[in-house]
Amino acid sequence: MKHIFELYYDPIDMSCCVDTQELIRTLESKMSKDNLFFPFYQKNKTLREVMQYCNYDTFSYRFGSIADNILGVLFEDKNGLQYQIGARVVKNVTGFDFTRFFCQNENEFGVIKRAILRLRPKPEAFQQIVLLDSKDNCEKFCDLILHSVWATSLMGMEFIGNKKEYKVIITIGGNNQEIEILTKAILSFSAKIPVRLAVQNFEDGNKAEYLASGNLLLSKNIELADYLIKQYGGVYKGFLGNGVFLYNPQETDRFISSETEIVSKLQSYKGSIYWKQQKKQCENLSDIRKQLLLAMKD
Amino acid sequence: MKINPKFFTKAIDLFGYKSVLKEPSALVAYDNDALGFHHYPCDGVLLPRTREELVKAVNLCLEFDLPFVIRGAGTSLSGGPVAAEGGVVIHVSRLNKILDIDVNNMVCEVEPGVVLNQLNKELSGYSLFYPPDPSSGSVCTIGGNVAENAGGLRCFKYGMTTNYVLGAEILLLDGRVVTLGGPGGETYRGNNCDWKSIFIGSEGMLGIFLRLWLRLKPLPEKYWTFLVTFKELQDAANTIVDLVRNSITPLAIELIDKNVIKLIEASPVAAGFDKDCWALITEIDGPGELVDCQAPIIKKILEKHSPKEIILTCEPVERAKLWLARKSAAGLMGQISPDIMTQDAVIPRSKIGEVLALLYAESEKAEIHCLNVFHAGDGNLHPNFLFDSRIPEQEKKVKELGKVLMNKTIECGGALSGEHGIGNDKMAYIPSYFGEKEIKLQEKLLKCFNPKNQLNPGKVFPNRSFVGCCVEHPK
Repeated sequence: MKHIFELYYDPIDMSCCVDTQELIRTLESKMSKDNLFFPFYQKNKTLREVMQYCNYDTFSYRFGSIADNILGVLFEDKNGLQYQIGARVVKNVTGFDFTRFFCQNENEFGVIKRAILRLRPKPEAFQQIVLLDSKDNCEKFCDLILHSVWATSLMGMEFIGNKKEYKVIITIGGNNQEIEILTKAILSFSAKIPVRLAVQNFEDGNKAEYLASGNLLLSKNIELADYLIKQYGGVYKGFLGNGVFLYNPQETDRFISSETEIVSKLQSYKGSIYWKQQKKQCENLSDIRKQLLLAMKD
Repeated sequence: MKINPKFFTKAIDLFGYKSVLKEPSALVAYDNDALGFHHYPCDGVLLPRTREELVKAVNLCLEFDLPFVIRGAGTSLSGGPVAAEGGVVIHVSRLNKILDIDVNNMVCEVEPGVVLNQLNKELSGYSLFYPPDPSSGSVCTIGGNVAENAGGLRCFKYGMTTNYVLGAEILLLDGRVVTLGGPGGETYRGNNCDWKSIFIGSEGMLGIFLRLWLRLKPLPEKYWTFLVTFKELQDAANTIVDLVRNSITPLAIELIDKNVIKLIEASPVAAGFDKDCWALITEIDGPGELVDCQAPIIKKILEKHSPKEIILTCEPVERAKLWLARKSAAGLMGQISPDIMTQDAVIPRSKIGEVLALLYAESEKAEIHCLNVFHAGDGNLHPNFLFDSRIPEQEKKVKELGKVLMNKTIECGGALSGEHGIGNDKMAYIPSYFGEKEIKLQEKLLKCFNPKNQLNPGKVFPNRSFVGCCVEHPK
């Protein structure tokens, strides 16, 4: 196999191979001159930290999870053996999709040393429309937007809630004219559901650490936020178009000790939750996981 | 292979005689897939009608220790759903129910035999759609799409099948039924592994899909479609790079070569293409007001590299005409050649001009026609080599050309397949693509799920042969 994991940056094909210890900030500085970006904005984190922290970010509504933006990985297993997985191209059905598998389960099997990233054209500008309102209004407004023809033109749609306020942030991008059209369209939804909307410059999101992450039905994201915040306080962040959330409770101990109740709540929303501190035992195919780990040791 | 007659007796008891095929005249339809020119006779076909019958059919093959393969519409172009080592084909097209459409959560639950376009027809009533759209959409099934991680025209903007499968209920060969994800997706952290992604694109080697949950999107309001023609290939290639680098993401970027255009224009689906040019079709979709503002920007990009002509339209009839011409191309090739080898390779987009030039030069040398119509935005080439399999010399030359393409793909850091899979057609290139370690890793995974290679043997990895009690082992 041709070694495709030497470090490179190719603005024409919009991909690069980087060490996973590299800071997102450093990546950004390399690409900005070519109007490209890697759609994960946790600038002070390394790529590996982003992979371990959360698969989703502001732009995931448009560009998917981090695994959707990694084309290949140079993976080192626990014996120090290195595997070249993936390619420098955006589509690949050659063998099993170990790129995604390792991106999502790095520590279990070894470490990703290098990754080939898919880069995206950076719009001329970003802008955000912020909705500050009640739980019900946030839900109704988001439901309307997500089912509208405008949904696929948005960059991000996040919910951030705490005991003080519930906030929905819609991120859009484009040239001035595109931004004007998108802003006008989103603001016009307030005629159907009277909510308070404000336009703001793009802000690099809330980068607080979160204790738990999970997934659920699209329509249940804000409902879960309301439940968790009322019960355990803290901060909840929902990626509304992806059906994914992050949560950092205020009453951590009580939250952790309520595992059964929370898991059952999530199940009723067809979702699941992962606690960072409680290394949740794998429910699916744990025997196969062990078998594969064992086989990789041989 | 000789199948124990008791197998058929039991199968007829379980499914009825209309759901069990064993006569050679009935089995011949399962000899190959859309790749066509290779034949792999199977020894029996089971046609389950329900999820329960599918489970029983699999159990029956396991009980009689027979190799078996799951097949949908058989539109694969890599030899995926053929009985490479004989045995049984389990044909799941009768499992074609859309079990649920949850409009509120934009997710649907389907059986594996649901036909792609039928699903989208149903979804359009709710102003929703399922984005992956291989050209075989009118017949191909969702189960096959998931097994091959299908893409299609729209995947430049919307992504591949893997981006839309929220969950799958899977029957494993050890008899377990596992549900990976579901209508709300799944979180992969800690030791909860992303097995779902491993199953998507696994070419039917790991387990059997019983049910699938798919993410849906709201239907776009308006489309602008652009047809642009070029005298020179390099101008078309440069335009592709510029289109991709722009922040307005087109739905599709398709390139059609001169010979394909000649075919189209001589057919009932003629769309008024200039016969002496390369044609590029691209399209944007979204809310009317937004795409109306984006259309002039796309037009400006298309004007940059000496186009001969640019036609843009938002009229549904005109658009449909252009896309029908594009999607009919492969079928039209069948009118002028007894056999076609359609290849699938992904290269970095900047290499499109170079790789196509190489393919034309080598084809000319070999006196084989090479026609190209492909997903240029993804760098996903689909060269079609026309030949006559009755002439052994021609088949040999076509295989040589396939080798040239695959070697060049590997050299460019590309992928042997973008959406058709490896099947048994490209199995021989796997050792040049992966190193020994990478092959071993994948074989270890296979061993966990399919230890005897009983499910879909003879595919993807060389020497993947069924180790059963009643089969003559290949020497």
